Amino acid sequence: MKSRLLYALFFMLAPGAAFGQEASAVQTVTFSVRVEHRSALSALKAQHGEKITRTIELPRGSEPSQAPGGLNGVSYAGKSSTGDDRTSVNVQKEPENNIRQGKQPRCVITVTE
Amino acid sequence: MKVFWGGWFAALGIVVSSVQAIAGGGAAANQLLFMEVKGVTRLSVSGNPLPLVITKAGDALSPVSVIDGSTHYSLVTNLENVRISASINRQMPQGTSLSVRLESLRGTSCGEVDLSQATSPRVLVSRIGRGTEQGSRIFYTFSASREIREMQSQSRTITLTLTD
Repeated sequence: MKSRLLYALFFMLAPGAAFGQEASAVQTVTFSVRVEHRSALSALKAQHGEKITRTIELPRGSEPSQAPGGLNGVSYAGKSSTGDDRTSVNVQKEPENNIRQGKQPRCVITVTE
Repeated sequence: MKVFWGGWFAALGIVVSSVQAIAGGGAAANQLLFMEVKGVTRLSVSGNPLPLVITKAGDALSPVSVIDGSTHYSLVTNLENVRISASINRQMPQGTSLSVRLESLRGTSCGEVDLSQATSPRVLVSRIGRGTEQGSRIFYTFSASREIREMQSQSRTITLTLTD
């Protein structure tokens, strides 16, 4: 009888209480840092979080297609050279009579994103 | 997922005595019954988080941290006052950090806990009561200092542990 009680006592103390309970799960986290060459316009858009409109005036005599990449990477239709979508691109030139007066046409590009 | 069933709960020994008293003489027989309710702890996750990618445009406006909350965890326990802790298998690279936050309905979340150097477990949720919790969200935040210009993809293993 005494040995049975000792046996019972062993089972009461030994299995769980000594080692505690534990369950675990594993996740793999992947991370990286990339550099993206975005236009300054896109950066402004990211900053403001809304559509913005900027007007860019090119040197007289320039064609819209001559907008240098350094000038916000603007192209005159659709997408910029960096692939940013533009919702609206408007190109204006000065009226013809100004040109007739010997002035070179002024080229203004309005970009709305 | 690893599940460990142990016998935390005490085994109960009950002596059942059956006594037959017979006038003028007696006989007795004893039986020892063992009953046990084992402690249960189960923890599972829904999968791996999406890649945490910081995209820098090379200017001061760049974001320096990203958050993923696409994964969930579930737990079952019949114990009181258990906790979830987490550890990382290897320290994060210099100039970066990784922190984690667990939502909890049954326990007390410790909020965002930095695991960047946590090769030994850090508590994420404490005082979890008996019961189940399902679909609670896990949020990872990866941050990089502005000095980090570019870093190839790396990974770390995070071990979540439910323990009493």
